[in-house]
Amino acid sequence: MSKEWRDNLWIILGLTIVSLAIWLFCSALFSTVRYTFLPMGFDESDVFVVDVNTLDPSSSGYVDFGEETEERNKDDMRTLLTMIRDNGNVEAAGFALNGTPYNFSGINSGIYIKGDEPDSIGFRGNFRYYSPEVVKVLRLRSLTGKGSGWLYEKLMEGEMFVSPDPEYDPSLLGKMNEWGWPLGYRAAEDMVGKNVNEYGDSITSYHVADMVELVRRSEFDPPGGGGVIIPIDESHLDDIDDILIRVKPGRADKFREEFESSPELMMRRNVFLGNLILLSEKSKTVDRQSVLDVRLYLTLIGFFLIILFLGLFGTFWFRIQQRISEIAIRRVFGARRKDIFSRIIAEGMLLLIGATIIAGIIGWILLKKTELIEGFSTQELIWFEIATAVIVAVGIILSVIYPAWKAMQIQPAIAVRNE
Amino acid sequence: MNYIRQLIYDMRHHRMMTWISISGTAISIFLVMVFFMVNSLSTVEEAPESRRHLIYGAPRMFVEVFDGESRGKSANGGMTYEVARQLYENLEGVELATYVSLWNNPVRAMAEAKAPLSVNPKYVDSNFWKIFDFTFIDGKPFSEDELLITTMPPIVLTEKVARKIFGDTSVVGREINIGGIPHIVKGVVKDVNPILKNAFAEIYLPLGNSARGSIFNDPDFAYVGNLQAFLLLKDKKDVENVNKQLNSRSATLNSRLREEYIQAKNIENIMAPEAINTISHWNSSPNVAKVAEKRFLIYLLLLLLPAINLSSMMRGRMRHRISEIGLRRAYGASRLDIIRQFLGENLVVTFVGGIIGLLFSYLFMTYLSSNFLMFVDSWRFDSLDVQMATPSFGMLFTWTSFFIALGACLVLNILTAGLPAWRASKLEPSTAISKSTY
Repeated sequence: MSKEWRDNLWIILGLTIVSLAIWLFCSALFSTVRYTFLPMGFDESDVFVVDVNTLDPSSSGYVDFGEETEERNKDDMRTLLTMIRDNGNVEAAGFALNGTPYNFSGINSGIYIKGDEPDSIGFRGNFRYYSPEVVKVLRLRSLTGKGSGWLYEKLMEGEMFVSPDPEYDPSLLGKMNEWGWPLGYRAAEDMVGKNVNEYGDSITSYHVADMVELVRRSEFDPPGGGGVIIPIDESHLDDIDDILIRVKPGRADKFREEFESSPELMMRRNVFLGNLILLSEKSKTVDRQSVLDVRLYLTLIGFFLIILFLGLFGTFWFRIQQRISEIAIRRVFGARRKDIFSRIIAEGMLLLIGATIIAGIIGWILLKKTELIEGFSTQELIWFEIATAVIVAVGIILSVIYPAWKAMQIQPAIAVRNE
Repeated sequence: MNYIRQLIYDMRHHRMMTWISISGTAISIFLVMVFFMVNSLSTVEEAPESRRHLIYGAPRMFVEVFDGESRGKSANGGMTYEVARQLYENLEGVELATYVSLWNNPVRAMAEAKAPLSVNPKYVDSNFWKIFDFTFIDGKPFSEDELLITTMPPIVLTEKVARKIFGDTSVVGREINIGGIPHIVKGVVKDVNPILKNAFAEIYLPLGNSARGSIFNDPDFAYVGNLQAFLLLKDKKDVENVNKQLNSRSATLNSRLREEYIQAKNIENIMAPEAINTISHWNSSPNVAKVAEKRFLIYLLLLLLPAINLSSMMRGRMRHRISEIGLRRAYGASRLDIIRQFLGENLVVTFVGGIIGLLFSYLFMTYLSSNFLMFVDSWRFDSLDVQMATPSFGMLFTWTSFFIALGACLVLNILTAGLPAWRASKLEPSTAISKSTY
């Protein structure tokens, strides 16, 4: 190998660049999929969502009931909701404010234990407002083994649930940031069974009935903290975003057909329902960018491996032809075919080790000094490096296996004669 | 001629290696061109965005409240009609300004008791039709006077929607229900590729009162609406002058807002299409230079990666021809002749690979790209059909793309064969013939 140091240096350079590119894309890939392993907190099968709208007063169809308009609009909304619930295909229907999966934004606020100081450290999370039926529609899961009937009853009684933050770090409790704000907060389980108030509201208090699995925004989004589920009743019908509908298994198409062919189900005076869409359909548009990113990163890693394969294959091909007489002499002196084969594979692996070390150092500097990829621990970066080395090793083996096999087949007498 | 004969002989003799070189080059050029084409889509000029180089955008506003109680409270979004007009109306150097809705959730369109269709709307004013050059198949755009009509407001449909809903494109004067409100069809335009996202919609609704106000109930955010502005400049040179005027207008607006403890940000400068595409954080200014730097690094990586890998193979290939090099040198070939020969030979291989790569990049972008890339912002268009839009061949095939491919081939050729050819040319004839070292 030392005789071919220039060539080997060149190969190491090529391997280093490929390793760096693969390492970078491995990190990007992990960064995209890192939250997909967490549970979603709801069951999206057979669940429709329909957004709720009210006509603008300037619209021609707007009916002005004077001071009673708000109440009349709520009545109309209630009627539409009842009609949906009465549809034979529907299992349950509820409504949500900032709580529809794939749609909600983060309203991160906090709760503190009633009786504590209003600025005491409590629990923080994203606030979701659900009518009790949503428990059945989304099939929320209790983390303490309670049934959905029990959860439903508790929301009916006006109690709330908390969801633990999957990234909760208890070591932050008691620490402050530079402005004196607390960095940590209490664990979700500390709040269960307590009466609590929302920060900024010392009057309305809730009893925390249970811990439920965090309802996540989407498969790829970070959980963004814990969750707080607050019950809402029909008096809030004028505030809600969506109606959530669970249909009976296998009835989705039939329900959609019936809904879309019934104008009375879609509009009632000032109130009208928007697009009816399955949550599983919505997830496709919301997650599409991330799904495509994953596909793209994997494809690019594949392309880099192909380029590596082509370069190494060609180099080893010529190298073996160059060494025909050397291989023949080795064979004459007793080297077995297996020895020749292993020797060439070992050469490739030695080159990989050199490249991995250089790529590791350059990659480390690049990742730490630039903003190419952020938010990884040292341990994670090392794992990516190992994963990259394994991927590149597979690439090397695939590239040199055929030239090595050809070398193995060399007949000493013919090889020497040809030389 | 002899070179070509020699090249053909060498290519046939090392058939596998020839294919490897061509494939490696093709992959490299394919990747470079796909990357180039994706980037070029933010500036490509095609109807109705034919004057893209003169259409600058003002897509956002960020409002911060700084009174004692609400410190730190902020909101992102577009502008209200009132704010947009204060900032962008009658600017010197601007031929026309239009105000267009920023976020557009799909709405339900229905006519003649047929099943409703989910369509992507856009609320636009009358200047929109003058800045963007739509082709009207039937009827005409709505005028400024028609924007505030509340009984049977006018609507412009695209060809596709007209066909789906009415089964025909000559539908001017017919009634269509949009999200529960009856409208009258005023015109039908040719379909727009969603990649031209400033002009794209499936139905165009008049920018009436409901689309002009704030999107928040909170009085602190009364200036945050759902409108963005597009300005058609008289000349590209006017950008600086327009920005100067905007700085002064935003200062005036902020001095008025200060009385309400509010500050409006991100409204000082207009943005070229490529700058709008680089907005990564809603609150921070787009950094075009940094994006260009990253882009350069990616081009470099995509060229270096195959170049170095193919180059090491090239070195091996050279070794096989050492005696030939020695002979040529012995018969008087200069070092430059040797370099020229190998670069020339490799250039042919690179061009063959380059043409294959270029063809595949066009095919990929036109037919397969939606499986890997998304050319519209998912937050802007919540519809799978729109998210799966691919560029037309006309958007991709430009002379610039052709010259980029040519340039990439030349660079790749020099990177791949340059060093091995230079080293080979350094060989003394006697050394080369005896094959003692290389």
